[in-house]
Amino acid sequence: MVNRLSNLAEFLHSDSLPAWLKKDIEDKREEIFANLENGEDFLLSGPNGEKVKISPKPVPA
Amino acid sequence: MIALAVSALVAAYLLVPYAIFRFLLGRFVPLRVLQDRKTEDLTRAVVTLLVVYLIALLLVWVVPGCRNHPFAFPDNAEQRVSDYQIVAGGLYSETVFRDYGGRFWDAFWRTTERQGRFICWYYLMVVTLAVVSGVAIQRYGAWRRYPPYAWLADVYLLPHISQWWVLLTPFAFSDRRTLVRADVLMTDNTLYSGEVADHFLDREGNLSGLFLANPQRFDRRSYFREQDAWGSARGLESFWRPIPSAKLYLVADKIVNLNLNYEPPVVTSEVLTRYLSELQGRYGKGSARKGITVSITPPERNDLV
Repeated sequence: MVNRLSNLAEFLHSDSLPAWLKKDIEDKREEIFANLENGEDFLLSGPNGEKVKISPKPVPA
Repeated sequence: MIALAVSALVAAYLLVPYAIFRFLLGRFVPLRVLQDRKTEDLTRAVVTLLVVYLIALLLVWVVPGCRNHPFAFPDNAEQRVSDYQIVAGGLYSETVFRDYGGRFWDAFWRTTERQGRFICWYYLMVVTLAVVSGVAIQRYGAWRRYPPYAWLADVYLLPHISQWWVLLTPFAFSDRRTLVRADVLMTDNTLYSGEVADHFLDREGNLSGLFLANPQRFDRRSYFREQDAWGSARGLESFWRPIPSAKLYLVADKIVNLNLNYEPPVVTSEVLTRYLSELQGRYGKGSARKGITVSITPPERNDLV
């Protein structure tokens, strides 16, 4: 429950992503998770040349 | 007479300074409307003024320049006590007032000058606190990660401001270029979308209207027609129609709900990791147990960093 403005601010931050990235993730969601399942990275590119690499968390040896 | 004096003191020490405080703070951010008889508002006002009062008192007692200025005149503790007794006695009883004669007015003017001196410093502190609070509130997006600031903001700063300001502006974000995008469903089932350019509040602090920049309207009729004809429709994006106006004003009375999205110009790994982890928990099947890391290469254009 959001009853303080600081909690509200935190809540607003929770999915604040550039529009292109959110759309890309929505569109390629299945591919992204399939790659992660196989231990592979997934690369997304933004309109201004930004690159986002999503990787599975390394398992400690 | 005593009632008049008490009213003047309440106005000079409580009502006027708090009005000045709110007026100045309101130049920095839109304030939440004070609610009648709400204990929390009253407590905040009293605490604010009490803190300022104590600082001003300390200033007048300790700092040499403040002790005598403005309205400097030869003074001592005995004269001060005597003056207050004469003034209080004269205000309380007309007989005492007549007995004192000219001494009452001498004491009254000296008391007025002392109070005037203190009020000058008191109001200056009120102005200083309002400006400092205003600047501190404006920096919320950038400073909210520092624990002492976050505590102060939670306890004292944020309760002053309008919740609509937090919701409909990039106030909570360190990057002021963050876009606030709204999908607005109206009472006639029309769905509009656009960037929130401005908003207006009524006297009670409720939303009275919303300005959308680059507005679009969802073409429900074509969407349902396509669904009826083909059994399914193209993607929803195909049905958004740009409205040929720079800004669209929507009256709040006709708004059923608002779906808000905040779009900062650059990605932060913290938000992205959290967002992906939530999606992974929902859709990720076996990968949900493995966790995610992200690495971000910033945009090539410097103005977007």
